[in-house]
Amino acid sequence: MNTLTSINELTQDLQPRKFGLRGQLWTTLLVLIVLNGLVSYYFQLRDGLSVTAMSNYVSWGIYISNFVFFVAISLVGSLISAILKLSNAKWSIPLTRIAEIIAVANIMFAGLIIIVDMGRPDRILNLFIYGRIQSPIVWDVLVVSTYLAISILLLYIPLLPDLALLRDKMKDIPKWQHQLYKILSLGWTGSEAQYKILHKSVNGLAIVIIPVALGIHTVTSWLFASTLRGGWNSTNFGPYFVAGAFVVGAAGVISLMYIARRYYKLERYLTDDIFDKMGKLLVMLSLVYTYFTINEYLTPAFKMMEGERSLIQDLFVGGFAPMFWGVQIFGVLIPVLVMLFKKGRKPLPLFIVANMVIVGAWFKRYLIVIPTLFHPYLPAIKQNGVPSAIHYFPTWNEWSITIASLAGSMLVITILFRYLPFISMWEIAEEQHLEPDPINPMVEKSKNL
Amino acid sequence: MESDKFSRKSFLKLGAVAAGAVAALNSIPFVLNAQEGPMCGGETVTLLSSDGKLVHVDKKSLKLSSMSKAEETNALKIRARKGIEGRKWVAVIDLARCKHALACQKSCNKNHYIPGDRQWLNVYEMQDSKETAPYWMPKTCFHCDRPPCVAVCPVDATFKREDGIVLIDNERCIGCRFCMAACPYSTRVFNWGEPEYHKELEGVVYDPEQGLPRKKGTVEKCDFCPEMLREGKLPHCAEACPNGVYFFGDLNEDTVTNGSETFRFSQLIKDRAGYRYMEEVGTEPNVYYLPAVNRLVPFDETDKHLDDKTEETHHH
Amino acid sequence: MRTMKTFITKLMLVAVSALVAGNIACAQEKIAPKLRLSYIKHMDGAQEIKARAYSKKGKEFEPCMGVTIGFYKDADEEQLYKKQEVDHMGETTVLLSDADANAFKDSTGQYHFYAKIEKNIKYKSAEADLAVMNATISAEFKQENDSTKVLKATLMVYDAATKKMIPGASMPLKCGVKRALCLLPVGKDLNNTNELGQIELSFPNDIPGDKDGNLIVVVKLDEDDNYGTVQYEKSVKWGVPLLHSDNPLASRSLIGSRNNAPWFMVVVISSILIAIWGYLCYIVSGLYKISKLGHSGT
Repeated sequence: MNTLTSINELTQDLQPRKFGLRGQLWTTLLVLIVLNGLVSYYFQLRDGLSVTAMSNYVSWGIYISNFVFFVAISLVGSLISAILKLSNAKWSIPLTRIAEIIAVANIMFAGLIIIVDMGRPDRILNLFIYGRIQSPIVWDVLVVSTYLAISILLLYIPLLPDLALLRDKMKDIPKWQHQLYKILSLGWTGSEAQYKILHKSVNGLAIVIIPVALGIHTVTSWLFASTLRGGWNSTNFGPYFVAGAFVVGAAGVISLMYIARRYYKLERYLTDDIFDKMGKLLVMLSLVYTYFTINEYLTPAFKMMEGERSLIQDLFVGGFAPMFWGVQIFGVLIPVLVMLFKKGRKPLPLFIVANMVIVGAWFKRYLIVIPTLFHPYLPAIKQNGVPSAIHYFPTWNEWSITIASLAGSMLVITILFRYLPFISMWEIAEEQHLEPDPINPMVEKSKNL
Repeated sequence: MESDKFSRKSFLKLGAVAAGAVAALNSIPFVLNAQEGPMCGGETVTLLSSDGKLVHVDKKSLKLSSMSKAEETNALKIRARKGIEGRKWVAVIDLARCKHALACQKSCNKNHYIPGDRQWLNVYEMQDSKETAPYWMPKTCFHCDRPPCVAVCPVDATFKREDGIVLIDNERCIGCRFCMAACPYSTRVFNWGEPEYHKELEGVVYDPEQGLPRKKGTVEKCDFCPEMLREGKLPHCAEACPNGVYFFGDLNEDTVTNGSETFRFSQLIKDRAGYRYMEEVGTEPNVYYLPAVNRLVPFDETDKHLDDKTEETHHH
Repeated sequence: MRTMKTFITKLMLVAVSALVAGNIACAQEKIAPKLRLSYIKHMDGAQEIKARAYSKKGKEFEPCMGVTIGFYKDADEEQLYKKQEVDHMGETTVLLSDADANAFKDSTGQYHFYAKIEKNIKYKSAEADLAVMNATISAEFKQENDSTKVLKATLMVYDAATKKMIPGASMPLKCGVKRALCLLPVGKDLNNTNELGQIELSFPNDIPGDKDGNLIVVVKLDEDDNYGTVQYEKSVKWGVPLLHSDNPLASRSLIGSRNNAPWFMVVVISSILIAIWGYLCYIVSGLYKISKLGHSGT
């Protein structure tokens, strides 16, 4: 990292900036996609889930696989801001907030997409009025809301000094924005007592979030593993889901930090070295994930028990084979091979393989949820085929709502990037031992995006 | 035509009447003669008391007329959760007799107003392996003693009753479909869209024991026809089956009947080597099968004439 | 030309009206229902006349729904006893006390019931009548020693010639135990009476009863041409007491209701929740402290 000389330089680099044309177009595009999804959801509310391709056999579709994807990617918050932080990996400091923003945006949409999947969203309060603690869904509701709360706190508390900085130094901003920073900064003065509470809280939350994060994805895996169905009836599912979640989360951070570095010109903060380290981390996570994947398929495929056999054949050589092998090759194998080389861990190639990992991970969730429903015990399946009654390909309505939810989470990330410093200013200042420079007020950088 | 529908509707209401009567008058445990239901406007209801005496009961004392719709719904829901006292319902399906006539399915569909995109009762063509004998397997809900669907329900919308029946309260179900995923027998079906309109069901008070009128966005399934069992009658499938495949009865009484033949349940299972489907999943079904040995008629795949409808699950 | 045209018009008119008339005739064609009466005498009180209205459609019988049936004491249908509407199965039952039944007795000592389906929009009317004579069944329950139980039933029938009750010899009696949906047969399906009108059956020892071991034993003359159905019922303590295993739903379990969640689950989940959310509250209180420190500092 090139040496920074003052806090002012730091804040000038990292303060929120107005969007340029590209940023505005991007935001508009996301808003349009979300609106399109809302229209589709209106049709779904009016006509019921019959607007989807789901049926009595394939009773869960891409809403659920998308939910699993959201839960998975949100797990990165705990990886970066807890595990790396507690293991004292200083290089990850600039990534902490990016990770938390991803976590908050995605866990929010995990909650929303599960409501979209409900046949009677108007009865959502029944979960609280009649909730049965025996049901894994209730556990999931509890753990998702807990994780959301912790993620918000882990995003918000370390923001306080930065918000105070923006409150004090950003003058060229609309009054409401200033007011927002003022309220949100809670009268932060940077006193020793305040810092003490802050450090204590963040360290405590970093510990608490680890079991909750493991919990959120393990419980989500139990929604499947607690049923009596081939492919889901697995004891490996909890760790398998967690391993897969870390992979897609790390890829998400890489993708987002590349975009931030490129468009905000933050080469000084998001250095090649960080990309290199994230690349190595992603390789390691992918290999762990591969280990679990092999565990998940090898022994059932070796035994070919009734109930698993037709599913495994469908995945390996049947109708789902192209997607299954596509995910393994383009979502895991090629990215790992690329990242094994130092040149492959340079920002641009890393960005490309990270996106391959993310897309692969989305389709992997599809492969977890849908093929199993193609292979129920009844109707009994002859010659390992799929009965004609069982079919599923998402309708336009499902696609547009699902894509809207993905766009929605990106929109939340975009908005948070627009109004919050997405790299923690005070933590970098602390690490670089920069002294506050109260005399010169900050000048807004003239160059917009 | 008009009058047909009118009476069918009044039949649906009968359950409500009986519920009120039972709630109000415990000393008269069954309603024998309830023709003077809500539509006749008579002042009294004639009941036969348990000691065989005729009783003329003032309707007002039964609170039939004074019950509001909400109170009626509530009474029906309480009754539906409790179940039929002292009973433990069980079914035995004789595979040796089934020749895929599908009268069971037809009657079930008609009496439960089941739309074309789903079946509560399926008759599957089974063959465990290439060399083993093929057979028809009628499948109702198994009303398991360890029902995985009930275990996963987040809101207590599907529940196990004292008499063994697993029912659904469609006014509580949130439509998460976890129970459908949890059932290893693909028994449960869903109201994907707005339910079909039936003139007969207009104004009928919702009763979980009949699952009618249907509710959009909720799960439904075979319910063992508790409204029939309450009257001491066989469920519709058993009543309709021309080959006597379906036996129903109370396990506490160790007796099952298909309407024309009656057996001691334990003896029948012992003599005919009865079994439960997929015992290994540990759900402990209350439906037993008698293996397809010494078939009544040989298995003939061409009997599958109506099967497109059986397997039809596509919806609009 | 002109006459030709009027002729064609007239012809068409005739044709149309013929068609219309035909249609109306078709629409008005009513179904001819059938009516079947049966008589059931319960030895402990009520007598029933059951009427079933049905029509034949193809090979199948269909219940006539929505029709009203009148019950009369005479063939001319002048003395109406009762009118009732049938249920969804096309059935209706009239309950009679002994005194009510006596009103149907004719000079020969027979009960004679007349019934009529009243015509309505859909159905034509139909009539039926049923004549039965009085018959009674009585039974004795003998427990000779601990294990041998003997049921002895006697059938007496009304003899029109002597106007007396005489034993019903060589008549088939059904005997069984009342169950939820049926009668569980005891002895053979049909047991013929001897010249004294009696049957004697040894009663099995292993039939499950209620929690006190009570069984409702039924002896029945079923749908006899001359006497209708006569049914004798008695509760006897001849069953195996049902050991009421406690309601399985009352215990706490995974399939229980919300109030019956297993204790360990309630304890584990609530303590995790309380611990984590308690800690989060503590964190939020820290935020409050930060805010207080900030405002007191300025």
